[in-house]
Amino acid sequence: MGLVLVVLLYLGVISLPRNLYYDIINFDANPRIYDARLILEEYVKSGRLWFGNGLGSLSRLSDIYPWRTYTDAHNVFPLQILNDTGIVGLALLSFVIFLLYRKLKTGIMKLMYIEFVVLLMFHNIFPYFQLFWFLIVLIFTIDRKNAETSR
Amino acid sequence: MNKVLKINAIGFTAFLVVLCLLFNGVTIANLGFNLRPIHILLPWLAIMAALFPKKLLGSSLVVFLRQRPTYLFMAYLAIPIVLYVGPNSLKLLAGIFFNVFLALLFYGIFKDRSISLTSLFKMAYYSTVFLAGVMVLQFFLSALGIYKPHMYGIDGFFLLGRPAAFFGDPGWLAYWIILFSLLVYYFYRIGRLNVTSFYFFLFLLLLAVFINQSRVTLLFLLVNYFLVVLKNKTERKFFFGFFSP
Repeated sequence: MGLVLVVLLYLGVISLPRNLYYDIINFDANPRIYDARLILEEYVKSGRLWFGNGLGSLSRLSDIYPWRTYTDAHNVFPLQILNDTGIVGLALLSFVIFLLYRKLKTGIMKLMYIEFVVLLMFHNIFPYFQLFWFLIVLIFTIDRKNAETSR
Repeated sequence: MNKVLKINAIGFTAFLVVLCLLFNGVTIANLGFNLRPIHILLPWLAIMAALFPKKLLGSSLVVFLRQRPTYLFMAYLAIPIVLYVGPNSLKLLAGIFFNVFLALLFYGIFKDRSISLTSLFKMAYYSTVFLAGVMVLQFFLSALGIYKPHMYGIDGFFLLGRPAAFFGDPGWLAYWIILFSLLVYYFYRIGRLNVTSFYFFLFLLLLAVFINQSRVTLLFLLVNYFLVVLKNKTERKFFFGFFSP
């Protein structure tokens, strides 16, 4: 199946969609990579490695520092946290994530929780939206109910 | 028949919550802020909390009291942040606290004994089928030229955009589909879902994701299939051979 796709691409019968083009051919055009590089550069340049440059979302930070040129994507959560709260904040956040993981009892919900965290890292809806709180509640309730029935 | 007709108030509330969050990206009107379905749900939630305070707020109060040091710690953290950053962050913190309160209410609703595991799995199944069905329908209508969906980007597989914008944010759609399809896979794995409806679900979902061109969703769907459905099965060996060139 993959071979057929590659041959069709080579012959020019089908064309790559633009957002796959980011991933495969022009890696630097990916807005996430662009943001990540920019944030990391500023973080290292500022020299506040332990406690960061202050809290806030990307849009708020771009209000405070107008020379920043982030794209619209809010997609590099670990680096945002690293820039805003430093190494201490990142360590605290990962500790909280680990504490919540430890409270889960069934394997399937552990997998769902890990995937949820991985998704949050690359498309940040934490914690300004209801969907985050709904999903975290649902993960825990299904986990408890599943543990009750399987026991 | 009697069982079917018996309307459970908390079950109905849970259904409304799920429905409102499914459509949360949709803006109903702009009254200075974006009016969303969840804002219309809030009075109903308040009525339910007043009618069943023990059921809905009791369990969340237990959670709150157990985790009291954590919340106090968060409050102590919030004070210097507000003082340091200014009133801009006050709005943000108010939003977060409001959402935390809403989450405690959701916990009270979904923890209730009347909501069974099977009904939650059914919710996962039907909501994902609904989302995928709407995407496929939009694609066919736009291909026929009857309907023009709001699209993200151009130059897709058939020089079409991503018809996910009906639900507001494609990111939300991806979250919903990935996490709830994992639940449906598990439901199939433990033998509570028959083969026909599972493969109908998988076919519809893969078609929708292909139309939507969501790379991350496709990746997670395949990874979940490998991890959950093919767990301890010999077909696992051939899985990657099928998709690689």
